[in-house]
Order: sequence, then structure tokens, then C-alpha cells
Amino acid sequence: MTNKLDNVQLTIIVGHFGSGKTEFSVNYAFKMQEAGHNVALADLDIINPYFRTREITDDLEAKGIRVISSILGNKASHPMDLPSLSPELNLLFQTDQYYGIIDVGGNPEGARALGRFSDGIKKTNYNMYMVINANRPETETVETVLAFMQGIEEKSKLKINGFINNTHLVRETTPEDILKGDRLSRQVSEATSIPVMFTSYIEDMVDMSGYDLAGEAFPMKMLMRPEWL
Amino acid sequence: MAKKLMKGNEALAAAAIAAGATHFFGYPITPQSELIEYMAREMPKAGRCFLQAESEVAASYMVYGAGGAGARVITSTSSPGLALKQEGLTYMVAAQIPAVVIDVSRGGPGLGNILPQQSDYFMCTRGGGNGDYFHPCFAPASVQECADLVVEAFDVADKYRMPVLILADGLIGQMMEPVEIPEVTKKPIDKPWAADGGHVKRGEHNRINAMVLPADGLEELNHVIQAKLADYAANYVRYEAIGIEDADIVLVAYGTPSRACKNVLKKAQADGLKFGLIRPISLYPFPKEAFDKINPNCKAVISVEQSCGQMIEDVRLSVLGKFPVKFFGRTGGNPIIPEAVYNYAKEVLGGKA
Repeated sequence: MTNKLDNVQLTIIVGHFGSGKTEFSVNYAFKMQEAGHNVALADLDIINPYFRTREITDDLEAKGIRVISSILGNKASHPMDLPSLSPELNLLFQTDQYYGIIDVGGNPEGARALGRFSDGIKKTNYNMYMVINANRPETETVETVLAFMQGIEEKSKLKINGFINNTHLVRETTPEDILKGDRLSRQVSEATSIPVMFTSYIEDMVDMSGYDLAGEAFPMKMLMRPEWL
Repeated sequence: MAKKLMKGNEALAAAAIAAGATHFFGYPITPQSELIEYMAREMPKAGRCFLQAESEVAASYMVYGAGGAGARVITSTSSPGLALKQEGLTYMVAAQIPAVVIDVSRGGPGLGNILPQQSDYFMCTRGGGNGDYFHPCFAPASVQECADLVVEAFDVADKYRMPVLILADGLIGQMMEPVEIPEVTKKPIDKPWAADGGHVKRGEHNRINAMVLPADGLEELNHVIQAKLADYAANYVRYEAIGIEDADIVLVAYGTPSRACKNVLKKAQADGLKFGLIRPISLYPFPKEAFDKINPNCKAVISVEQSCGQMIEDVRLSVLGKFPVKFFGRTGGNPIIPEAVYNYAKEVLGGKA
């Protein structure tokens, strides 16, 4: 059997909890599936106990997206904060069967879970994007974003090659929040020579048409938070 | 200060630091671990004491010691951890030590699971240790309320020299919302009773003690505790009431389920039904006075809890037989969904439940 590692399509999403990393990952999975890819979404979050990809497993699977998370179950009704990762994860970088998306836990300790798979991932042309939310106290300045980025890279043993500006205040988000994140993301991009890939936002909440935003505009639906919460 | 995006757990911690907490002692447990992680990171930066204890029991006695020496002290945990802390809490009540104790509650009984549940109502309000006492207890329903109530809890604790509880269900601890951490300029009150070596003349002593052997002495202490609780209960009733004066159905809920219930009220209004909501913010004292304002022709009061029914006992004691009292609950960590509450309430209204 030959490993067509050059054909592996793998996008890893990292960022602080609250950055909106899972919301982006899930929306991105749906978008890639709609674009005709055979998508598998892996929940590698060992940091957050709630608001996780596995909570909408049924919706994802209904669209034909494969959900990979814990060996102990993929459903919200089997909550675990144990690092019980599924060996199915290897499918994402040892085969070219899937367009893989990996949603990684919300801090450098969470990225440690990724480190275990780094040897396999390094053999592929992976992308690792870091989500920036300028309204999170831990990532509100260039310095703190860079320090966070360094922590993620050290623990995951992988390199970030793109940023996503996903600055928000949940339902109080205004265009000004996104523009604040835009300024921060551009500064981080300049400091690192790493491009901003996307600016993402909830389309029902803010109209960003007519703004010059870094990277590709990525309108999203709010999927991880029920309307009443 | 501009709003930031924080988890409830982080806001509880940040507000405690803003309120001048000098000491934190705790032991990690899901779903409150972000609180202790925040404290581990930020308390040393602020020149304060953070110490991870070897157990919840140890943490509660560190709180006893530091609080007895006059420190502004806080501990946090989740349900099984609070059960372990109960011995320290009843000792603090006896020794009249102020402290803030946060419970980010999860599924029980026993080790249960890590999902949100509200089955700690009795343990938080009644006082889970031995002896005659209740706990002042606040229940936030938003991340902003987490921050605001922590600040208030410190002042209440100092004023009455009692441990004050904050009961936030796991979802409140874990959810992200915009929050403004209050700027606290008010100085904590003086503590002339503290065993800090500074308040007494040579040869005199301030004693911090949870044991009183003479019968009259212990009775006197109990009277002091009861008088403090009565004064506290008369001054710290907090609740939110929506549309109860002309409601045909009144829902009662705190914490996360109250958010689902607000959504139920919108659905009812759209369907031309009159629903109201009482959201206790203080669980002890329970806002009995709110129930006097309910429409006299109300068909039923429904206690909505993420438990098998604990607050319902206070609801019954407040309704005093004036209306039928019904219950809607989920347990095991299953969420309370607005549709399910609404359907049940409509059955109650139609006399089918």
C-alpha cells in the first residue's frame, strides 16, 4: 500500500477556549462537505467539558460528515474530560480518504494531545490555523497572541501557518468588534509573516459587506449555542 | 472598562481578585477548573496567595485558618467537592469566619458526571454540615451576574462573619458571555475580631474556635448565629419577576433553566398565553415575597429545576397552598429545553398534568 501523503488534506484549528474555534471548525466542515469533499471532523478537545463538536454529532452525521472524538463515545450524553482519543484519528493523516478537520483543545495543554500525532501529521501538507478573538483577555494584544501561539507550537510540535480573525462578543457582537480583531490579526500577521486566512462572523448578527477584511470573509451560522442560551 | 468575553468560571475568579480576595485555596474539579486555573495564574501576579490544597477538606480548613486571621478568602469547587468541604463550613459558621465559597454544580449523586445539574440546592442553602444554620446563597444566571454577585458575597461574608455560597450550575460556569469585571473601590471593613495579632493589647486574645463546651455558651452562640441569619434574610432578598401579576402560569427557575424559561415566556406570549417567571437570585433567603404578587387567579406555579426537585420545597412554603404547585425537571445532566417546559406548562394549563 502506498501512502499518498501529498494528497492528504488536513486543516488543524487551534485557539483559546472562547475564541470560537469549535464554531469555526463545525461551520468549516459543513462548507467543505457542501463543496464536495468527504469530510471528517475530529474533536481533540480535552480541555472544555461542554460546547464541543460531539454535541452536534447527529447534525454532522446527517450531512455525511464523519465525527471522530473519544473512544468512549461521540455523543453529548457520554461526557468525558478524559484524554481518551480515538485511534480513528490516524485516518486523517495516514490515508487520503477524508478532508480532515481537527478541532484542538483550548490552550497549549490541549495542544499536547495533538503532539502525540505530530510525526504522522508532519508527513502531510497540513494547515494549522490559529483562531484569534481580540475580546478574549488571553489574546487581546500582539504580545499575548504571540505567546499563546508559541505555547501551542511547542506542545503540538507543529507549526501555525495561518490566522483566523473570529473576534466576537457572542450576541453583542458589532462590526467594531470584528474590525478590532482585524487590526490585531493584521499586526500579528505582520509580526510573524504568517497570513490571515479568514475573517469569520455570524452572518445573522453582523453585516460585514463593504468592509475590507483580512483574508477570506467566512460568514457562519451559530451552531454550537442553542437560541435560548 | 470595555466588555470582554469570559467563561462564568473566569468571571467568578476575576471578580474575586477585583474584590480584593487575598487568599484562594482549592482543589481542581470539572466543571469549575478554569476558576482555579485562573487563580493559579493571576493571584501571584497580583501579589496574593494561591494554594492548591491536597484535598477539598484541606482547602476548607485553609480557608478557616486564613479567614480566622482576617484574610479575604475564597474557595471554589464542584458538587462532590462541596460535600467534602461541609465539615469545614460548619466549623466556619461556629467560629464566625467570613469566606466566599463557590459551587459550580454537576451531576450527582456520588461522583455522578461532569454535566450541569442543580441537585446541590439543599446542600448550598440548608447548610450541609451539622448544627443549626442556613447558608446565605446566591445563584447567578449569567456571566455578568457571576462577577457582580462575587463582589457582593465578600461584603456579605465580612458583614455577617459567615461563609457565603455562590451556586452556579455547570453551564453558567462553562458558558461564554460578554462581561465587565466591576471595579471595586470600597475597602473591606475592619475585622477587630480577627486572630491576626494586631487588634488586641498584650495579654488579651482573639480566639477563633468552633467548640463551646458550656451549655449556656453554646446556646448563646446559636442565638447569635440565628440573629445574624434573620438580619441577613431581611436585607438580602433578591429576585427577578416577569409578568406574574396577570399570569395564568408562573414558572420558578434559577440559573440556566431560568434562561430556558424566559424563552418559554416569549413562546407563550406569541401564542396569546399569559405566563410569568420568578427567578430567585438569592436562594437563601428564598424570595417568598415575590409569590404574594402572583395573580390570585393563577392556575398553577411550576418549579423548573435541573434536578429531581429540591427548590420546589421552598416554592411550596412560599405558595402556602394558594395555587397548585407542579414540577418539571431533568436530571443526569440533560438540559432543560424550552419546548419541553412549554409543552408541560400547556398540559398543566389544560388540566392534563
